[in-house]
Amino acid sequence: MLTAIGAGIAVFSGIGAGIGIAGATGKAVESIARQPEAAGEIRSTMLIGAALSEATAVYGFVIGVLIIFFLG
Amino acid sequence: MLSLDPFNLVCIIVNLIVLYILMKKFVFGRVLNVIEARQQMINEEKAGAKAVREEADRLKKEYEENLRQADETSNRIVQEARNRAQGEYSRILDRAAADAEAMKASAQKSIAMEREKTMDELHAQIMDLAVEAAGKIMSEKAGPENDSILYDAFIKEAGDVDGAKDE
Amino acid sequence: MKKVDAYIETIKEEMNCHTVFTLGGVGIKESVVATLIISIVVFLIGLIVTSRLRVENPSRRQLAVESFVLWLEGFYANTLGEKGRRYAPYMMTIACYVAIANVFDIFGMKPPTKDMNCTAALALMTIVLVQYAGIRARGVKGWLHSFVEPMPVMLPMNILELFIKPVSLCMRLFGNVLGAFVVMSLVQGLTKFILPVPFALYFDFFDGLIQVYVFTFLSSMYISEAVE
Repeated sequence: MLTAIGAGIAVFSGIGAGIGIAGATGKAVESIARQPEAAGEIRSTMLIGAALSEATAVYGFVIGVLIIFFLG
Repeated sequence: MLSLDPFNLVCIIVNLIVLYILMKKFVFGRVLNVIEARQQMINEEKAGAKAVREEADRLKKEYEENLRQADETSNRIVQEARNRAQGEYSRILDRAAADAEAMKASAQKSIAMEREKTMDELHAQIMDLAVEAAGKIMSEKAGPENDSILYDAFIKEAGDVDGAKDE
Repeated sequence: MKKVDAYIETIKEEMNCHTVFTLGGVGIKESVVATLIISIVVFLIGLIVTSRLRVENPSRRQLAVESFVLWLEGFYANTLGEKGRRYAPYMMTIACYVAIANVFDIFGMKPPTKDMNCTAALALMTIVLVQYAGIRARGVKGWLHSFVEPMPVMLPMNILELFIKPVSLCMRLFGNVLGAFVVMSLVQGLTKFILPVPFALYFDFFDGLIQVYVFTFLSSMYISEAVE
C-alpha cells in the first residue's frame, strides 16, 4: 500500500513538467505570432525546451517504476 | 530492464560502432560521394557552357566588327564615287560654260569685225561717192542750183547705200 | 481481482528484459539481439536503397534517398557547426538506429531502448565522443581548460555535468520509451482491436520520433559546444 502511495507521489513530478511544457509552448506560440518567419527556429527550440522539462516527469516515472519493482 | 549489465552494454556499443562504420562507408558515404560527384559534374558543365558562350560572344563581336567595317568601306567607296562624279560634273559644266563663253566671245568678235568691215566698206563707198560727187561738181558748172541738186543726189545715193545695208 | 492481478503480472512480465541465451556463462539480453536485428535491418535497407547509384540520370528512388540524406546531413551539420561537421554521419547513424528502435513496438517486438543497457550504451558513446571531439579540436590543454570555463569556480559543476549529461540523455530516452511501452501494454492488455492504433500513433511514432530528435539534437549540441 505504502509503495503505491510512494510511486504516486513520485509521479507528481509530472506537475512540474506540465507547467514547464505549457510555459514553453505558450511563449513559443506568442513568438511565432509575433515573428512568423522564425517559426522553424522557434519550433525546434521549443521542442528542446519541452523535452528538457519533460525529463523531470520521466525521472518521476522512472522513480515510481523503481519503487514498484524494488520495494513492492 | 533497470539493471546495468556491463557485458550487454559493451555488446551494444560494439554493435553500434560497427553499424556506424558500415553505414558511414557504404550508405552515407556512397550517397554523399554521388552527390558530390554530380555537383562537380554540374560545375564542370557550367564552366564548359560558360566557355562556349564566351566563344560565341567573341565570334558575334568579331562578325559585328566585320560587318561594321564592310559597311564603312562600302560607304567610303560610294562617297568617293559620288565625290568623283561631282567633280566630273562640275568640271564638265565648267568646260561647257567656258566653251559657251568662248563661242559667244568669238561670235561677238566676228560680229564686231563684220560691222567694222561693213563700216569700212561704207566709208569707202561714201568716200567714193564724195569723190565722184566732187568730180561731177568739178566737171559741171558750179551754181547754187547745181549745188542743191548735187547735194540731193548725194543724200539720195547715200540713203540708198544705207538702206541697202540696213535691208 | 484475480483477473486484474493476472493483467498486472503480464504487464510486469512484458516490462522485464529477458535473457535470450547465455554465451559463456553470461546472459545475452533481448535488447542486444534486438539491436543486432535493427542494425542488420538498417544496414540492409541502406544497402538496398543506395544500390546502383548513378551520377547521371538518377532514378526517382535515388533522388528520394539523396534528398533524405542531404536533409539529415544538413540538419546535423547545421547543429554541429562547421568544426563538428565530421561527426554528422555518426549522428545520422544513431538517429536511424534509435528511430527504428523506438517504433519497434509496432512490429510486435520489444524496443531495445526500453532496456537501460541500450540507452546507457548510447549515452556513454555520446559522452565519450563529446570528450574526444573536444580533445581533437582544442588539444588536451584546451580540453582541460574547458573545465574551468567561464571561471574556475565552475570546476565542480563542469565535472558534475560530465556525468549529468549522459545520465539525463540515457534516462530521458529510456523513461520515455518505457513509459510509452507501459501505456501501450496497458492498452493492448484491454483490447487488441482498433483502440491501440491512435495510442500507437502518438506514443510509438510521435513520442518515439520526438525522442530521436531530442537525443540526437542534444548530442550534437554537446559536441558543437565541445569543439567551439
